[in-house]
Amino acid sequence: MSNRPPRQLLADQIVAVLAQLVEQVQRCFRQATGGSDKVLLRGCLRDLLGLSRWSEDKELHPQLVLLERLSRALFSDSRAARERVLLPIFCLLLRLNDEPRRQLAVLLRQRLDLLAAMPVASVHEPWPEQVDLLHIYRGLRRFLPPAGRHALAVDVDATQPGLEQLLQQRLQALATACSRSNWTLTDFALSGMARQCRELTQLGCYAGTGYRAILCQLEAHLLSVHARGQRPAPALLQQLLVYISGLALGKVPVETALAALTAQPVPADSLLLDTDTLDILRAELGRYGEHLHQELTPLAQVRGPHVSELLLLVSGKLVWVLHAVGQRLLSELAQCLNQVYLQYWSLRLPLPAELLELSASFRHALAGLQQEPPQQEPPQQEPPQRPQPQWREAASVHGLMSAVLVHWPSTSGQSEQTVSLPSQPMSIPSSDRQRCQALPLREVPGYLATTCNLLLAAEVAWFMQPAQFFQRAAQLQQELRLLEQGMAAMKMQGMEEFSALLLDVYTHLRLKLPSAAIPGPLLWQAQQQLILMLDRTAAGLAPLPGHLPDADVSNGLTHWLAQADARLARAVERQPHGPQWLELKVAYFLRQTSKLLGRPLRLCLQQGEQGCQLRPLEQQALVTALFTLLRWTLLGTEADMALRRKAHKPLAIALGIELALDVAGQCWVTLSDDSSLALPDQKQLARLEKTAGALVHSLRCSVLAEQLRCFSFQVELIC
Amino acid sequence: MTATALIIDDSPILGLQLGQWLEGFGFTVRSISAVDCESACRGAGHERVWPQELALIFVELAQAQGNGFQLLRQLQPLTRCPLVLVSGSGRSSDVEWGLQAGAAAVLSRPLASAALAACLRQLQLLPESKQVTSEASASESSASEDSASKSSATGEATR
Repeated sequence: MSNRPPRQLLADQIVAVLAQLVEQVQRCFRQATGGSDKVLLRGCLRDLLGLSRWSEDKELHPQLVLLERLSRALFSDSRAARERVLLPIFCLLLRLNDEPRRQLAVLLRQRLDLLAAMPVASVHEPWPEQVDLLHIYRGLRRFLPPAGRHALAVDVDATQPGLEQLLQQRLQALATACSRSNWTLTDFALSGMARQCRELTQLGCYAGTGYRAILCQLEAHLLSVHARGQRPAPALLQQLLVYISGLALGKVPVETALAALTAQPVPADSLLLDTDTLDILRAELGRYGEHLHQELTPLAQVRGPHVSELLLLVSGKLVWVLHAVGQRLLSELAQCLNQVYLQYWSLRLPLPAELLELSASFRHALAGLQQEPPQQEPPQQEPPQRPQPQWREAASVHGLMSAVLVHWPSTSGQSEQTVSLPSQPMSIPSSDRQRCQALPLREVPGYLATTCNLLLAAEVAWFMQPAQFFQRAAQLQQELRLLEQGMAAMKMQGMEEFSALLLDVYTHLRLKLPSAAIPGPLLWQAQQQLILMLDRTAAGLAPLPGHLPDADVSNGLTHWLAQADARLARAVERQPHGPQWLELKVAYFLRQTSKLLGRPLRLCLQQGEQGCQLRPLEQQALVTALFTLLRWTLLGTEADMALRRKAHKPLAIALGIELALDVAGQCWVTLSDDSSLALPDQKQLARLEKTAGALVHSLRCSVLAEQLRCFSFQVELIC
Repeated sequence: MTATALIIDDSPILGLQLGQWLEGFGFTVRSISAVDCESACRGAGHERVWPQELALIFVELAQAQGNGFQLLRQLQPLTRCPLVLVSGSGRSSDVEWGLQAGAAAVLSRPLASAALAACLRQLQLLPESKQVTSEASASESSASEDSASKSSATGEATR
């Protein structure tokens, strides 16, 4: 603001530009608003906005609101509508040049306050016919912090001295952000400014000043600007900067800035309400009431939907309109409702039924206001079963406000990003088709600590004696799998990999190869490591240091696995088509593939209750088909890695193979995997069936309800 | 005015883990939940409108799209504040690659407040006398001495 022109020169310029504006308006009327006039008119408006930035007396600021409304009217296709809006404004502008400036400015201010009862954001563009209001706030939600501890700086304290200075600093930062944006704010910067406003709003609560109100409005401005397009109007941003800078420099009284920024009308008793204005505002009230009804109805009919952005916007507008028509009590109630809605929206919580009832009562009161003049009898549209609230009695309205504020949502119910984990480890069927529950991420460590009971209670004897080990191996393995999922969700890859390594060892051991001895001491060491990890991670989000897996244990397990792989290869060679051949063959294939892919593979093989006794040729056919499908499945896993990580899934791919004999004695095979939900097209399916072998029929692929991709086919048995 | 730490992660994990401690150390915490490297970079670039507020940036290594190394390389020309990489695996290769990609320090999970404090001190963002003020830190006083030595052994490194 160092290059500010002299005051007299500024005033002269404003008057000159206004004169040009009047001329343009006259031309518009005469020539049915040609395109060139529109451009000139917009130029005048822009000049005015630029000049107003330097204006010391803020009385001209409300003109900007009017001028934007004028601008909108001139772009209307309906000449009648245009003239209806323009005529009173036009007369005022004409008088502005004929009367002493100061007196006219006062008159203009009063008139503008009434006409600008709609906020700047809404008069800037047609509403709601041509603007999808659901775009408002859209995209910003992710940037806005919840009203939790992260939303506020740590140095905020109601008793802290120098809070005013802190506020000034924050405002200055906001002003700097505005000015450095070069008036072409991108989405992120704009939303960042909105977020700053929100933080400042909370700061304003502590300060107990009018800052909060002004910042709320400023945030609404920013969000609206963001919603209107990729390039917010530089003029509007410049206008905002006037207030922000003024506040930051402490040169603008809060009340003045608040009134100017929100188009807040002067006290009702000094307003010159004419019939036209009242009609306009009552029509607006009716429109908002209808929107309110539209937004509240789905919330009341279906429990669960969250507060819509449109509801926020409409309730926010009602505050201003009610104030403009002199309904101060109702305006306060609307403000109260708007703030509560905002909290529910921010926390993504559904509105409680009681609040919906209060909102409905409020809407009925609005309908009554639209039908009856404010000074006459109370509204008539209240449902007969409820008593008519006395909307003009302060005690009644304040009682309603208290009732609304009772439902101020608690931040403890805030919804968070969740992760799906099995509800009970032992409820996991042998495949990964488990029942899952959605857990907030912050609850995952505690959940793991309370669910992995056997892992936590492990004793050394379990690992030293084969009988005891195999008695518990299945449950230990399932708890390990849960742990692996939990660690993946918490992005603790070190622990996830350690769990995966242990799971591989367990998988090998459960094959019960004759030559494989249980590495008891090594497993016990690993178990102790796991307990340490789980204990400390479950301590919340403040785990103690020093619980990365011991390198010796990890290396020992890896070495043991390498030896086990060699034993597995020998076992597959030694028992061609023996009773365990299929299981060993698939396990060996998966171990090799896992090493090739660099990702763990979890297999669960179910051979039916009575077992599926296959002849060697049938086993060979089955293995050929399975390997064909597994190759197709696993080669496409890399492409889905991003989605997998986004869903907080572990690296390990869960595979399930199920063999079953139907009543006709036919062998049906199901192969499921959780690596992707992409299905092969008809050509690919036909090629896969052909490659799978001559004994394979009826190959199909589908997605199961458990979010698993599933191949099913029939193997022809040789009679 | 308090210093501001920016956390870039495609999930809220890092913010959950670091936020409380950083606030305890007197930082204002700001998060970017980036869906990919490009948007994170763009977001961090816009954060430059308040350069005086940004004291450091934490970058999560494991991102669903791209990774923290790419992000570091993209962020480096955009900001002068130190970049700290957070790795979930604790591999020494992560530390080496992170430093090569422009990180001033690399932290490994599970994170510890003492390791974080040591990192901040080495970046001269925390006075030597500053102690952890969060509630969580109260329970770990017994292990704090171990942690400093352990953290350096488990992957934390500074330039």
